[in-house]
Amino acid sequence: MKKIVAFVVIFIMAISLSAQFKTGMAFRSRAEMYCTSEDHQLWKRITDLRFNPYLSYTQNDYLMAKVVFEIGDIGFGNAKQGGAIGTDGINVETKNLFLQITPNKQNTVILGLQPYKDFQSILMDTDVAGLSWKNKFMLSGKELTTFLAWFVSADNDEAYVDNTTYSFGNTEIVADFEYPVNDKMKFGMNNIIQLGREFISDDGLNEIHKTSLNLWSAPYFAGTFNKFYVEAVFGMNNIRPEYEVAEGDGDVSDGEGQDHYSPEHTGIMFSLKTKYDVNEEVAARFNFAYRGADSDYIGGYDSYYGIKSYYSTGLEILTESGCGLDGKDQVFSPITKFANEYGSAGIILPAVFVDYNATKLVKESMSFINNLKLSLGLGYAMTAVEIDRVTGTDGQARPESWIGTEVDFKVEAKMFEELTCTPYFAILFPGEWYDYNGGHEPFTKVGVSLKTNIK
Amino acid sequence: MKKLISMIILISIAAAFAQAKFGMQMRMRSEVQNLNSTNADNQIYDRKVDVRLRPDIEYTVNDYLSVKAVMEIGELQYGSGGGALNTDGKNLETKNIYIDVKPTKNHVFRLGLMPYKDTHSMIVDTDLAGIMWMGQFEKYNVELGWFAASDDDEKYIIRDTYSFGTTLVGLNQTFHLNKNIDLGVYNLFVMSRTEFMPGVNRDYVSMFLAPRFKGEFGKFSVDAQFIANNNFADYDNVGANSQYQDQPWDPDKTGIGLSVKSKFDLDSKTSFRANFLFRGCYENWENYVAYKSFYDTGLEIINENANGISTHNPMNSFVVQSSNNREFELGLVVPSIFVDWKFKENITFTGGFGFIMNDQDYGKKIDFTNLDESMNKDMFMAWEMDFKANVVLYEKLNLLPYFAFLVPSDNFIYNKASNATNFDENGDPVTDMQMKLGMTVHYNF
Repeated sequence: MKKIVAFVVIFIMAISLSAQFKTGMAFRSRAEMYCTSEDHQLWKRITDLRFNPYLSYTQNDYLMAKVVFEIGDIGFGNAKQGGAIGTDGINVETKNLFLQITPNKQNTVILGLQPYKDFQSILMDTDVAGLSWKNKFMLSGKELTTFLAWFVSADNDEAYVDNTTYSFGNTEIVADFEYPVNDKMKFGMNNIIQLGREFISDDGLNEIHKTSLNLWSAPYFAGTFNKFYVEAVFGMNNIRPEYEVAEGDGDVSDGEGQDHYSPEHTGIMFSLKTKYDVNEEVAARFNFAYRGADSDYIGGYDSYYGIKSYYSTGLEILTESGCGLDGKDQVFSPITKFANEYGSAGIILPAVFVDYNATKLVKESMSFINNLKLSLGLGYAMTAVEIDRVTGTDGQARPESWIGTEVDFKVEAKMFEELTCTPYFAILFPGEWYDYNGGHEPFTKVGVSLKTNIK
Repeated sequence: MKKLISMIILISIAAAFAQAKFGMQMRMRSEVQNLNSTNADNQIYDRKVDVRLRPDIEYTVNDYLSVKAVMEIGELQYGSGGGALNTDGKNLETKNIYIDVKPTKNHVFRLGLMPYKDTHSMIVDTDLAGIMWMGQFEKYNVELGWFAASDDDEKYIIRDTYSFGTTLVGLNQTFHLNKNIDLGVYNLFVMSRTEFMPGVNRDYVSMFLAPRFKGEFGKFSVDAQFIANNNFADYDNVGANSQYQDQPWDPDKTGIGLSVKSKFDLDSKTSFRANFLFRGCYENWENYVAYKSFYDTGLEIINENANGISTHNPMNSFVVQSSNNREFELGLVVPSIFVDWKFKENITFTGGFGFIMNDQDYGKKIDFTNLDESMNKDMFMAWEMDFKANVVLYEKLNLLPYFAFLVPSDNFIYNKASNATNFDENGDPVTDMQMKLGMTVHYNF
């Protein structure tokens, strides 16, 4: 009997030890050759890797602490990033570090550096320090999920000016809601209020601050109707900067002598993503993105932009989040690129895709491939308003809007059960926005991405 | 019943951590040495203590995939940087991160930041970013790798893109002739492109060919590697720079190297070792130049990879000066012998003796147009004697105390042309003895 008791005790200890401490990781490596320079055909070549190990410690049912590190992206041969000969780069970053309190199944409170993203990553998709509370409660028989958070995206210290303390930086208040209509449909809304203050100038007489109360709201819908899936989000923002004279009696004027120049930014963005399963092997997708343009800066701007968006159009070049390298030199963001003299020219971007699941074709000859998907994509981009552009050889400005047509070919192979290999080729044929005479070389990306992880 | 219970418990614990394994290597060195000068009036007894930790974690995703990361903290020198008062240094470095893909048990594809070396570390021994295939056949092993040693970006010049940096391609082949003899050959190609002047690229290629032999014949074993290397540069005025006229003096270089390490077990307690390093010239200054070596002669002072901290590196630190102020490495020979005596199962004492000499009678302060002006044509440079011990405590803790001294000759001074402290006030070389004393501690798990 003693032996059995001892066995049970030790066995439970072993199980509980393993339950308390967990570790996992994500590994990604990308190799890409791309030519996205507007001026000349410069082919850049980069191979990089990223490693995200994490550790979590579960104290009991109520408390859990987690830390996620990020090492990378380390460019092969890049001395600054620790990828050159000898390696030994000081490049370990703390991505997330938080304490999670779960008083009951309906409530979760997270304190620390945590990830946040909205439904389609058009508002904010990043890691941020703060406090968040996720709550679920029953409403008409369905579970309404609310997510309330206070984030501090920038703290630039305080200053004592004219008998008052001013705090500089940005604070975000998040209020998200999601409600399932049934098993196949849900509605939701992401809302962010950003409060900011920054130092603008001090001429010795007047110290001027820019304060802002910025609002984002993005209702969304997602639903599956038999073979058809659709998700849509409508993003709105209202940016309200105010210029405040913290010390002194002077006024803030713009170039035309108007006092307290503080135009609002009010913009909208619409994103639609759909999928239709033609049969077991073939699926068709249609994505659409619209971002409004600025027309005249007098009276305010009209363009939408996020706090830190990471939006995927599904394409590889005209996107913020492709499967390849996604720096500002590698992709053309539909949310931040394509400017006009007033601000943004906006974008209208429809794209269609055809996915073919070719697993059956290769299963016998290449048994290490668990799943193989071939994708063909076609996107057509134009700015929301015509902008005078000098892109012809005659030096004459013409109103242009056609950015270009992108064609992508991608393969997504899941192999060895957990390794996802994605070779891709993308080419953007420039439209008249870049090229009136038709001699501009296409923008091109070709590469491969490898990913695996342990959760 | 007991066995069954123990087995279940062990399996439970093992299963809990099957996916992740942790380990670490720790090294601590303490040393006092006066290698800065051969002139006793200028010698500084430099004292240093440092520590280095290499934690590692390996995740096994499944039978085909695993990811390993090795971090490095250090070397932290006591009282300096992150080892000074309050510590708190930002000194966690990434040494290796790589993924192994094993489609079959005999083939591994490795991608990421990985360690890479040739058998004797005489060509390359470092960490590199790249991809490598390691294949095992019945009597044949092969490693084929591509590495990006440096990436200095691309440039668009006139109508083409030029990529700057250094790329390595290595091929290592081993043939197991029988259970006692391995034959192999290692090849390394180093291709580098830099900008000599605006619009003018310098393409530099280094090639290494290194056949080797490894054999065990009863109590005697020998491991030898011969290396031939060839370096050449080519200049290309791709930007049509009008200021570029002719290719500058940048001759092809050809060098040879040889490393032999042998051992003879006299009995269960005593063994003799003899090592030999030859880093020679094909003619005059055309010397063997390693790419990134980390060679171990077995000695403590005349070495690149010793137990201690400071050394005279025979791979690159002996540099002579010509009359036109050009500096050249000259060929070297380093023979050495050692006696290992196992005092107890966990204690081994070692006595070592070696010397260093030039491979031919160069004139130092060389004027290649007039060799008669040479000031020194000696070949012998210095001899070294070492006393070491290896003490293993608690199975995992290695203590390596050592004492070594070096007696230089005039020729040693001329091979250290840049060190003015080796000369007296009259400009004559001074040949006082140098020494080092220290202890290194290794702990791995």
